[in-house]
Amino acid sequence: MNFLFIFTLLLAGAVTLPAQVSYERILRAEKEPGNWLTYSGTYQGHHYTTLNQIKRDNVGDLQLKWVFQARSLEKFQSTPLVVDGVMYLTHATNDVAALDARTGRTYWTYHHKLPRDVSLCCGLVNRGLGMLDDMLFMGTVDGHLLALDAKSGRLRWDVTVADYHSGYALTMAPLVVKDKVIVGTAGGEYGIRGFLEAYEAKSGKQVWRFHTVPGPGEPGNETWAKDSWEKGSGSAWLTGSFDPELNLLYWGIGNPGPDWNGSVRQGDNLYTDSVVALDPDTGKLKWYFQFTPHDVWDFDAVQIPVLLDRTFQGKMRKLMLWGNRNGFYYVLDRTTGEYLLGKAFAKVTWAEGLDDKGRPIRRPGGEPTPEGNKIYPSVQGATNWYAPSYHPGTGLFYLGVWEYATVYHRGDPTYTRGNRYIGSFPVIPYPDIVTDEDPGYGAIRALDAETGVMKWEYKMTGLTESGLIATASDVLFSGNMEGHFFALDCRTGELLWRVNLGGRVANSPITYLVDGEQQVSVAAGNSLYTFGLRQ
Amino acid sequence: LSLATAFISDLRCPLKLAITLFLLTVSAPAHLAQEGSTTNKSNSSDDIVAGSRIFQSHCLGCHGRGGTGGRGPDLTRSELRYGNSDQELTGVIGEGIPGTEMPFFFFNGRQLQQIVAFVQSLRQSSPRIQVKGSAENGRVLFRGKGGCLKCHQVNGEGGRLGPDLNQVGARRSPDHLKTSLLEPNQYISPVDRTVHVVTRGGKGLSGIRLNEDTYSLQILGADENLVSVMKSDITKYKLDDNSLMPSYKGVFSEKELDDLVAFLYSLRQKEARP
Repeated sequence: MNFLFIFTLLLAGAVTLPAQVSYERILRAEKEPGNWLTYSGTYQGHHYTTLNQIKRDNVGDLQLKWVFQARSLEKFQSTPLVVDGVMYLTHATNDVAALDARTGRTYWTYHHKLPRDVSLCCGLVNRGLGMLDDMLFMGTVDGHLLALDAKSGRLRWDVTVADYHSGYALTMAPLVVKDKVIVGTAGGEYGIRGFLEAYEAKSGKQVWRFHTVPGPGEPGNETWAKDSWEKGSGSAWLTGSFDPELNLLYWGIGNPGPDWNGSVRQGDNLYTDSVVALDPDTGKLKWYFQFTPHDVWDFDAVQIPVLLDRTFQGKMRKLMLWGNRNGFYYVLDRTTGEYLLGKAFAKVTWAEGLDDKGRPIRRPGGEPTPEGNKIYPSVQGATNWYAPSYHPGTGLFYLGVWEYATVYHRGDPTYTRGNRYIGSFPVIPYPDIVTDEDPGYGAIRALDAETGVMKWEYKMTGLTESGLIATASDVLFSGNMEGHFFALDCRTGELLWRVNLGGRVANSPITYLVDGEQQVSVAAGNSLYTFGLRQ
Repeated sequence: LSLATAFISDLRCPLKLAITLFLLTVSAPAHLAQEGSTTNKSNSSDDIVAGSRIFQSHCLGCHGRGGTGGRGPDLTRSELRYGNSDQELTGVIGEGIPGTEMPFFFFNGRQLQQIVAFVQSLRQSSPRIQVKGSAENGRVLFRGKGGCLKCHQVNGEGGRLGPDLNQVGARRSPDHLKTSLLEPNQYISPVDRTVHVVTRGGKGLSGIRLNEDTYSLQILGADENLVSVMKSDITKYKLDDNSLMPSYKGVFSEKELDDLVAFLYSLRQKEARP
């Protein structure tokens, strides 16, 4: 009798057990704010939640719930996923863990063993996972894409996307769209030829590839002198956004190579430093907009595209908001790529402004020189890859900002396979408040999404590599490189609460529900910290 | 001496100028034999020039122009933490240093040797500088007339408000040392800057700024005590552009200055190795 009962349950389960994260769930992720189903929370990349238990007047009651310590001292840049009480996260170098989101205890861990000779410009980092049904997807710094079983952590499939010996790596969180997993490659400092690829989620079979640097015969190849396209870089190391209605995938593309010496790659160098809009079914390019033609400062357009529908200059439009590493804030029409607005949100000395098509008007003398030339923004940009946030209630676009200059040098662009191909080096990529003469400062800024005008600023002594998340209850969470995690008032920028976590905050905080109660998780140093309201 | 003409063509670049001057002043490559090792077969002047080009594009970001350090260590020192021989340097560059920011590189054998030759050339250039004073006389002046121990530490003795001088000879040139004695405000390392604050209670505090973030400030006070101040309690904050160090212009004779510089330049205490 008992056996029959169990068998019946198993059979029923086998037939009716719903897939854990269906595509339909991701499509409607904003309807279930208790979970965090995809890298940016939703396909629109708002980093905003309708959860409102944590408010301006009780955020001071936040207390530490648990800490997860990674087994590596690498930077913790990963943003977790949370699905029905289970947190899935990556931690350096390429481990995956499933945690009980209530306690931080581990269900399982998967370890991807790396070859010893992996070399990456900026740390052996990983930024997170994609998920579809009961599978998790992770890119690795040795160029693989893995699919894991979400329940057991066992490997389902493993494909080689690119050869790490040539400088390719996967550091971004894959994006799941329909039945496909989409990834791009890092390696923009190694003379790679960047690309985005889509794989069948079930099998790992490649479906399409889009080269971010067009080859001979393809439109855009004429923007590269001679054969410079072959080592043109154009990495794609951050997750894109998706508009299901327009069926368009939006992705930010990285710098051209070599970074600081453009003499060997005369031309605009498409599609580096651009946003590309692709058909997710075929990988075909629908439109592009290049923020920094012929970049010689390393201004990757590697930021999260923020998609929203709202009135712009009196007319309802499908917009894309973009706070770019080059120091300008942009509003584009995401149906066509039409430039609508551009305005500097930080000090910019490499350009005098933007023309009426959004093309930068370069300032004479604003380029790297052999002797070194001090230019704003810094080599890490006026902002970078960490998530901005858009709050529909305030109409404000929030982003982390660096007010800091770099002395840019131009040197020899020497290419050797697998080594850096950058054409000299900017000295001091990360300033130190105590040891550097002119360390600049960091800030969280709130821009009017329609005009780009700054509404408030929260100034910090140090810089920030933290993303942001805004809540419907007007609390804005972020952190900084000093190790502080804090909450600001979305409307005024007033500091509401802070805690010193002791290590650099270098991921984007998320919020979700466990047992119906709102939690906030953020990484600092090599650990993930989770806070909830005191009971 | 067969110098690479490409280098001579652009002497505006400080690194190129330094290399060119160095190559002009020593009879390379014979003088480039390294301590404990003569294994490098690619150490001709052309190899050094080739190595410097690779250094510029791959190493300069961390080790600074001229290899004098930055985010990474100063490579011109006579003692390097992970080894001084060609073989050891080749291993460090070719394999990286696990647990540090020093990455693995894919250079071929010849390229590795060229970089090693260049790094060794930087290290060879530094100790060749001759000073004219007497280090022993300088030591007496340092401890006596100069009163330097009041603020500086050497061999575990002395105050803490000024920079520790145990390795100053490995880090600073004689000219730089002399300038620091005569015009101490000309160069102040940011880590040695003095901060003056006034708290809400009207209390004034001065000292060396050890650390600072958005919310607080950590100071080594004038009485050599560690002090923490919350920024919310500060009404006035000033980071001083002047050094606490007095000028010794007119205090020491020219010969005494040379002796003091000779003493300071002799301070090359080895770093403790784990």
